[in-house]
Amino acid sequence: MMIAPKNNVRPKIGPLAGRIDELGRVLLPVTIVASDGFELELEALVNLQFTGSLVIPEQLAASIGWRCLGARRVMMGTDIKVVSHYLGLVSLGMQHQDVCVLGGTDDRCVIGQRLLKGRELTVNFTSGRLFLSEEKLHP
Amino acid sequence: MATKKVKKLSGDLTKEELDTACFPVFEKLLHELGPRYRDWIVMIEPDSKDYFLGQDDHEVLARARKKHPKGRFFAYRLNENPIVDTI
Repeated sequence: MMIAPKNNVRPKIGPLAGRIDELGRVLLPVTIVASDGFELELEALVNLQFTGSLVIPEQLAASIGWRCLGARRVMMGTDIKVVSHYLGLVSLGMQHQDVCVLGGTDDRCVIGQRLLKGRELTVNFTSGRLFLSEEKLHP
Repeated sequence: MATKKVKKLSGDLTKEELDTACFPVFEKLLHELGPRYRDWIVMIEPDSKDYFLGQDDHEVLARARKKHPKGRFFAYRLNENPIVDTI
């Protein structure tokens, strides 16, 4: 696990590379940390409509020892569903951070707006490549 | 033979039962706090009826867990449509 320097300055890390799959979906690798410290890298779909941080399959959350902290109502398409929520340690190419993670009913992992906050996502549909980096400060 | 109905604790409730147990508390809070804290997140612990209010769901859930380390909480957004997230 990466430890942040004492002065709270983020270490410089290169952009995180992702890919566009054959269906045109934008995918990024995300690391989740199990309750015993084991790290698992998953490929997650970027969904800019998702207002939260991350969705992982509910069964996976249980299998890595995350305790279910309850549930909430979410809008999925036109349906309202009740999903579990967890507090989990995750990393999206940089320091680990504690985020609110939702339990999904299917086997997909989804990254939402909250996890991308303060970052710059560049998608090149010509080359099929994408990069996530720290937001550039424009003068 | 008469049967005694035992109230389940939050740890034994399904997600839907947790919603059912917390929703009356939410309705009361919406009436009391809704005008002032519209669209804030509220997390409710059904056994104690404690509630935790804030604008960041992660921060509110962490605060709720600190007070009730073994508790489970149902989250609502303080408005007439209490959906917290859209996927």
